[in-house]
Amino acid sequence: MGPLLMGLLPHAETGQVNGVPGLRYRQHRRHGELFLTQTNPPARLFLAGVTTAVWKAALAFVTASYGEAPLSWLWDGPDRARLTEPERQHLASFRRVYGPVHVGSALFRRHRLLREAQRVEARDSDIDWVLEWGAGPSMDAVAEALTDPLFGLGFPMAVENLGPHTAWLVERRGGETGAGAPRGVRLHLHREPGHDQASEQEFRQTQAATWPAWQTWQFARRPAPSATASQARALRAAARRRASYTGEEPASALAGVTPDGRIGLDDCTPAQRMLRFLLALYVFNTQTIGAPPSWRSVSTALRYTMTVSPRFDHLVIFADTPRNLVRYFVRSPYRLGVPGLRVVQTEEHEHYELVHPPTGATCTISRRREAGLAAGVTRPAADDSGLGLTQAEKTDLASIPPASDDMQSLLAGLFVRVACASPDKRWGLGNWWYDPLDRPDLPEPVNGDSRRLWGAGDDWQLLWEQYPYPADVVASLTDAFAGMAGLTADDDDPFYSIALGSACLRLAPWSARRPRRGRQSAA
Amino acid sequence: MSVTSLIAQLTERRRVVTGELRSTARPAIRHAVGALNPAQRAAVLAVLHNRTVEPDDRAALASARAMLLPQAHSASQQKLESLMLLALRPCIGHLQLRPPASVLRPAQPIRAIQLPTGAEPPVLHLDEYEWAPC
Repeated sequence: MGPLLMGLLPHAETGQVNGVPGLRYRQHRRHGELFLTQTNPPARLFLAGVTTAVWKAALAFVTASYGEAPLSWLWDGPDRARLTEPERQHLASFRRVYGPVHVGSALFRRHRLLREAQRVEARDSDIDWVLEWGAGPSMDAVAEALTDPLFGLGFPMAVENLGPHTAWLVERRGGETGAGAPRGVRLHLHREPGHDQASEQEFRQTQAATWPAWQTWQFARRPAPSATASQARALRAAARRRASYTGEEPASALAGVTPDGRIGLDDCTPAQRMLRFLLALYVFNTQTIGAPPSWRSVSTALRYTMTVSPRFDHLVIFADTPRNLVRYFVRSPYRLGVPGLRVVQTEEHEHYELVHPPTGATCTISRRREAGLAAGVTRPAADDSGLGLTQAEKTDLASIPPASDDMQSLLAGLFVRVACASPDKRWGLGNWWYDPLDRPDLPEPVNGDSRRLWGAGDDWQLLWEQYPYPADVVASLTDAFAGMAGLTADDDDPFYSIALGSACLRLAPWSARRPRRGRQSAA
Repeated sequence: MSVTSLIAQLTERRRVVTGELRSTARPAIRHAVGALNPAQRAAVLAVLHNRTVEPDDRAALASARAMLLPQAHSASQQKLESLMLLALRPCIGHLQLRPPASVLRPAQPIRAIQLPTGAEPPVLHLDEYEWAPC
């Protein structure tokens, strides 16, 4: 809905009207209606399933896509039945559509012919329409469908210059299809070859710039007004179940579960994944065996009582002493912290909002456990003054070893579970320094608190002393509810191997006294 | 209600171009078939059976075609629908960037166009994506 509105909803910008002048929107209970104002008979379209919540989410998407400046909408003024002055001036100089509208309308009603195409776009001029698509159906198939005697465009069209990538459909006036018939509207069909995997990879590198619009949309879709009572009940039940693992308040957990009732610990944006990966790297390297980040002592933060509450586009950490956590996480003249992490807002009751400009991720560290803290964190631009990286931080970030997307997800998953425990007391991670289940029957691990997490690409290794028990780590990742989807674990002496996609993490506890278990996999 | 072979065939052919569900396309086709006169019905059957439509029957076929998949009822309605067609273009880039960004995934916002009988406006069924990323 949001992307479709990008070219439709009229707004004024520097004296110009963007969108369709005169287009208006009307909300009904279960659907929306787009209509052109001052037309008789009325020109309108219904949008099935577009409730108020869907519409608001779509508007949030459009607004976020255009950036920070508030849009000067023309469609929602006090008198929607009339054209606004900017629209009137625009229509005095420009037409809404230049191509013959009977062809445009007929094409629109049939454009699902191209549903398998990677992209579809139409352009118009005074007598021509151009219909262009990438990959998908062949030129023959489309030309044949558009000239089908029963469901074709509905007026006599002759196919000319049919080739694999281009063809012309030319209207024959007077119902004649012979070569001598008067020629009318021309429709130029153009088929482009599809994209390949190489261009896919290249394209994905550009995604970060438009993430905010989709994130905004996803947040806006989040509220439950459109959910039925049974869906809302199911979500609340999922939230209570998540809270039993993570230690969150149910209201906080509700902000993190997925709409289909999954725990949502690992459903996150690439920005969040990167931030959590970075945090994992810094808290899982400590003391004598730790890799380079260890001397920065960020890992000490794990010594504080904390509850990690990961959301799709946000990370919340509840703590009894947020100030201490912030002191370890955020770089200062006295402590080195995680490079790039900045406090942008401090409120009462030790409530800190942080951003990580290198990734664009946001984080909250707070004592207010009762708060849902669903959304609404200010997202400063990466180049805001005071948020720029120092040279030392740039060096630190550049020295971080490369990790594949799967590996980042896996390590991010380890970080968000640092304080998790199963409600049935099968496993518990205890912030990686104590056994929350207090199981005296299990052997004491090696005394010490060194940890080392390092690797490259898809191959990483995590060594540690003391708690948690390695079987607990594996169980937390393969748990039927709290585990990571698609993850497999192998008890492959002397290491546990955990695989997610192409990534493989070897767990190497210095304690060899681990309870052995067979192969496990997440649901 | 019973579904004749004619209605079933026409329903399937209409769904290819509109993307409608059977449950929405079938009543419209049933209504249209019920309103066909004998000449129009003969012309439609001739097409379905791959027989040549005689020149005299082309007018009947054209009118039958307008009943099976109606055209917009007014110039302003045609204009609005043309504008919707043109709006697909700025939409593409945003849809391709929907997480996870992909240029290989079909980038189209409209799943189906339901064309009710009579003067009711078309109903667009939009792709409302899953909340969580794919």
